[in-house]
Amino acid sequence: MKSKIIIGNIVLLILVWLVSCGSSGCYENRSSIPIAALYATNAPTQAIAIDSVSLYGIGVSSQSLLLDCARQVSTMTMPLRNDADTTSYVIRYDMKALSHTSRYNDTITWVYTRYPYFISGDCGVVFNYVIDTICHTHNMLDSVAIMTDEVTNVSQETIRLYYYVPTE
Amino acid sequence: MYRPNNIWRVVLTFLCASIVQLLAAQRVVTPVESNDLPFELQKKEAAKALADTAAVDTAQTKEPLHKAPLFGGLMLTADLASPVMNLFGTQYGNYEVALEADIYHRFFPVVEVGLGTARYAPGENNYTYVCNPALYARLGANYNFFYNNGSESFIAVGLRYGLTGFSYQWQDITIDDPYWGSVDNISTPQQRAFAHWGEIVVALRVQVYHNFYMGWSGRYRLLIGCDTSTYGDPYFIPGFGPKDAGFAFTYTIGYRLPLGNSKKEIKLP
Repeated sequence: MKSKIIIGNIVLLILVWLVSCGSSGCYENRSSIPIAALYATNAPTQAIAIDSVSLYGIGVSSQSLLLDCARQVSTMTMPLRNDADTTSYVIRYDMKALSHTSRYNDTITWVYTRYPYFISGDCGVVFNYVIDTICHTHNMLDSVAIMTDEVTNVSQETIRLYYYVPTE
Repeated sequence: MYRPNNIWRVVLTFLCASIVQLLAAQRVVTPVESNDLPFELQKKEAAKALADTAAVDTAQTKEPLHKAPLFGGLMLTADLASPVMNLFGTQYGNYEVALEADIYHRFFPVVEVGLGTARYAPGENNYTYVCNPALYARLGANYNFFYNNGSESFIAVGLRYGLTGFSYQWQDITIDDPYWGSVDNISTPQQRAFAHWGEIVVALRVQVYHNFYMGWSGRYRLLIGCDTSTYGDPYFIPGFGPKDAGFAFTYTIGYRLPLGNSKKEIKLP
């Protein structure tokens, strides 16, 4: 009887070990990327979408575009540099109506501090950012509002870009 | 892995075992055989039988609540689960010993102390979590359901309160940035934290040879509080284990210190 209990204990230990080997996996974002949402200056609560927009970072090695003449753009994601405390992006407006003015570009510069943040055992570590200031040109872009100064792996509106939208 | 059904299964098992024990303890009533005596004599016999039963009942009420002595000795145990798991590749562990007193073989106040440490580097991930060796302690008690069955083994449930202070950091953090084409390799500064928690314990222990015992316990741990840092919550807490793991197991070997009078049972009258 006693030996059965001992064997049972050993079997239980092995079962526990087998069960404990499982991994729950990562169900969260594994990067922290700020999100810019587009709004109308003259109707600040109204989100807008614009056509023919391109977006790229200044200094990115291949000048690769995050947006390439995209249509119905209402939000933009702008990954921040991990090897610097500032990151600049160019928003290029490619609308035909603006073709006679050559192209209107706006530049947004993020100034921030960054720190590593442990999400979980399965998701690992990401960089989070605390935004100090945002500088921008005023060609088409009217103003910028910071909605949250901390950029984490939770998807949320970080800044709002306000454009003047003419009404009839 | 959290499995509430398993807890209910264990609770039901204990309930069933308790009911069986209670039923076994019921007094056996022997029916009085009918005979052909006159009615008056039958009444006298019945009265005599009733008096006998009452006498037996009086004797039974004198039975002590506990067959075992007040102090049954001390038990020293060591947990083998973490060292064994380390052999299978687990990169953290709690290495602990416990001292337990035997009160009536029913209540077992216990102190558990140990050293918890981690150097956890999941191969598929981008960090190494380092928890420097830190002391932890747990206080609590077990309650043995089968305290009067004359066995040295036990099945018990218990409660614990644990606490620890420790330091930790993340090292070798590698973060790729596919858009900007950079790869960073950094470490966080050393962080300090205090944590405390509660545990519900289900334990089984058997005597294997003279004063040597072997057993296991399943534990549900609930973190009461733990300091956090700018860089995130600690992954591993000494004495608690991984912060997101509610369940834990220990596998112990024990030695009953030759103290007290654990072998002496109170003789029934």
